Amino acid sequence: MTTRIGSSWRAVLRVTVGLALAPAAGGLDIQLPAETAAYVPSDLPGYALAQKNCLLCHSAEYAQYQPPASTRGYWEATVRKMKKPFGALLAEDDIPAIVDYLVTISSAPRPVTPTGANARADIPLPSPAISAAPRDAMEIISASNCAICHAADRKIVGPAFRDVAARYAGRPDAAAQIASSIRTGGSGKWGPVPMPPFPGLSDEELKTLSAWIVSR
Amino acid sequence: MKSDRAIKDPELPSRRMLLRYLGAIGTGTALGGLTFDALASDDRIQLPFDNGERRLVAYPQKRPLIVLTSRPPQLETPFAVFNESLITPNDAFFVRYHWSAIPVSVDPAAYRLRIGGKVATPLELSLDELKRLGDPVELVAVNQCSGNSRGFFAPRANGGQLGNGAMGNARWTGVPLKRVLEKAGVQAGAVQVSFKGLDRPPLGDGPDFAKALDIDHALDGEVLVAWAMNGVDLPMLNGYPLRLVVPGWYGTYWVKHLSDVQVLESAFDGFWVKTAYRVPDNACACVEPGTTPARTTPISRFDVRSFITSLADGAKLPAGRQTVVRGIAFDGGYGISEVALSTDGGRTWRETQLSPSLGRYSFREWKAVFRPPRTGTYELKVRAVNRIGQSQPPEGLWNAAGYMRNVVETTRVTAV
Repeated sequence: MTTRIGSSWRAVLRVTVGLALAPAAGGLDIQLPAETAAYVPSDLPGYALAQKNCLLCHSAEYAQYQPPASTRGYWEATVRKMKKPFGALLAEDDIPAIVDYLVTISSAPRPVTPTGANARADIPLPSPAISAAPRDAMEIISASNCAICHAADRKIVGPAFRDVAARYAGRPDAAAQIASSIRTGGSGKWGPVPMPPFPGLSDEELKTLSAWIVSR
Repeated sequence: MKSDRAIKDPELPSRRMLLRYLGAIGTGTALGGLTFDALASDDRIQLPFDNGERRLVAYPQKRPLIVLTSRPPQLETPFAVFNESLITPNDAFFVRYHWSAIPVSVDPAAYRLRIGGKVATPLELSLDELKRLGDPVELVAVNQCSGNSRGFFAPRANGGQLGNGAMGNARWTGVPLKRVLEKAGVQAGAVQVSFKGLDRPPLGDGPDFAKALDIDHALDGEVLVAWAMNGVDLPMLNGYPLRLVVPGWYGTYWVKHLSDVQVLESAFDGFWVKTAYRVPDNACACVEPGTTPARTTPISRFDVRSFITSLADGAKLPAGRQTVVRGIAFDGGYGISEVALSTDGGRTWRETQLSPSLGRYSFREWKAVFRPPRTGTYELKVRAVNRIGQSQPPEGLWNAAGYMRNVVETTRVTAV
């Protein structure tokens, strides 16, 4: 299935036709809209850590819609809850920096009536914290926690890189399609677990990474 | 059960949800070869509390709804919908998930509902087998999120910052859970029944979403395993192809994509009952803001709520002329017996006219004529009472999780 970013606000509903021997009702198959929420950019190290850890399991609104002046105590307890019992694969040493960042975003003033560029404050530009320098594919995979869900030759949570390459093999736009999926995430193509978006990767990093995947 | 939740507490007047459409904001952003024209059309809404700006997005089988979170999808109904009809349309019905691995493709021919545990005959029922267990039952019932209206808490409570739209009223079709359990044969010593659906944690070892009901509740004949909502199959995001319907109880128990039913010989001790979805174990399910309750108990039955739906906060109406004011009321299933309206900020109250009932678990429509004697502002308040005398508190009650808000709502209007 192709990722059609252009039509993603118009969610696609497809009702598949049942096989001749199946009961009258066909299957139900939906495609969720692309995820556009993203963390507010920051120079704090917790910004990259939040992208790398929190977004693996849920979208950015969970944190960003909390009331202004949510306390440090709340954020510490919440990040700890994500680790245990919720099972987030968070390094203990990264927790204070993530809390620092979350305290910052929930105390920052927000425009009530956004206009112009400020209207998209939650759709940040690629983060300098992540994309300061060109990196090779291995560095990008490590920095973005890709290996939590993807391995070279076997399915973990998401498909093997080799299987992604096989699915897009022979298509002239393979690298661009894979790059799109990485940047905006998606669901329904490889099973029930949705792919999180990685808006912090630069175009160059996406090209490097998608070319590497295509070559598997 | 909770008794009267009408008491005490100072501070902040309650506010009705004000919907402010900010219109389309076009900012097609080209980032290298990747065109993000998905951002080009983006309607927004301002919920009337700090940091309450939200997107309106049309998810599959849904009209544009208020996006609380996009992964997993959590969608709130714009409040104006509740004035369109007493039954909430499927495409406007709210959506709530806990984990982000949700089913997006279901083959009904392969779907099975498993019943196991303390039963004589463990079952794996196909949808056809389930539907043939007995005559389908239809029931109109409100489903409401435990945290509906959390965004209005004062002081604010952390959690999903919802306006008043995490509720809806639908006609559910299904078979009583009692029939299903009887088919399997509940054995002596059964204490509770637990329920799980197809949604899962995306990775790691987080606690799968599961809930439980006492065995007597599960066998009361009213709890349904439902496949249809307002006469058609459940939308995917509301639990296709099966969900539990627990009339009068908060939505946390209405397990979606229901796949596993286990009859238990001891009380269920999973995270989502033992740790989450608990309220102070006292008559008001409330504490002084910032304090911790001595004991907590699992959230259960709805308290009493009522809303004006025909007038939004800030609405204008003609002075010296009659306006029919209309709204809804509901409770946990005892049935609404009276709805009163005040047009002077709560100093005086008068009874309203109740429309015919669609059932004791349904929204109940009420109407009253209001003739503002002169120009100026008026503070409208609405307050319901149920058949066992439960009502609504004049000021919002507080608990740390932001559950069970049921304050007497206030709508400010101007006669011109």
